[in-house]
Amino acid sequence: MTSSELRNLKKQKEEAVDDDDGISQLSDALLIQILSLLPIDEAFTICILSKRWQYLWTLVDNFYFTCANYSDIKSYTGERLDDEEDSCRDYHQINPFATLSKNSICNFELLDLAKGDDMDLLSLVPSFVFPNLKNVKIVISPE
Amino acid sequence: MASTTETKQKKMLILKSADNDEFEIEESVGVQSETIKNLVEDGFTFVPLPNVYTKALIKIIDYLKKHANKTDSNDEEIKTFDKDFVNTTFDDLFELVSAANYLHISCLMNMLCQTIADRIKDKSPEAVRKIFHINCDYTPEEEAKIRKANAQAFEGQFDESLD
Repeated sequence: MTSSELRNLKKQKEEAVDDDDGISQLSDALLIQILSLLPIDEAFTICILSKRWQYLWTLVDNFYFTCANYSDIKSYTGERLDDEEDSCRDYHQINPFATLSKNSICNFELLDLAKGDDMDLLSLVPSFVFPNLKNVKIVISPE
Repeated sequence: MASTTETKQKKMLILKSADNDEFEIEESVGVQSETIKNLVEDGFTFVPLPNVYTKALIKIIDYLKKHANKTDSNDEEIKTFDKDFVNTTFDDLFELVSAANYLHISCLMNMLCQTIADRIKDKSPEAVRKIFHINCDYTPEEEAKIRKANAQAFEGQFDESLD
């Protein structure tokens, strides 16, 4: 088929598929593959989109986090706030990373970790037990 | 360049889209798709693709043809082609990623997923909802609760654009 024939066909068909509605046709597996390419904190914000999306992000296979400073990641893995525990129990989201499916994670990357925080990293280890981890990359920023 | 006789000897495949258009392509071009490759290995030369619409199939055939002729010298050309290929609407990208997934073309899948991820990065939840055609089924109270519990995740500047 020549390219001009292709172009004609394309024109004819363009309208027919225009009313297809975007990503709702994509499978959960495909959405998870896309979410896996986002930094983990961005993947997490996806939970706000709708109930279908609430737990999709917890099945990502990459844990990417760029910490401008260590306090960022601490705020995600930090302690539950007692007074809010009851009101938020349904969402498990005071410590959102606790809801991650630990078995799914294959790649773990912490970028731009500030110097000096690397020691504190040890205290994070209990939060990050990923049985199927294959690659780990931790980059400490020079200054 | 292939001579005329060689061209005649090339094995050809027919792909049939979900909307019943047929496309003839060289077998060597088609087998970059794992799905097509498996069918070819089982002796099929006619490949119905009930999950791939013509619009996406035309673009994917273009992609396969370009990438089948990959050599050291046209690396830049292919990069430009790829960049152009993904420079389209979100709806087109979703259609293409579905098709590439069904056809098991991993390099295309990776490129499309990465493009979609890069383009929704930094977008506001409202913008992402519109882009993905999501109906929010949280009550305003439920949404407020999640936002409040994770204030740090929903702070800061978001990109509201839909492109």
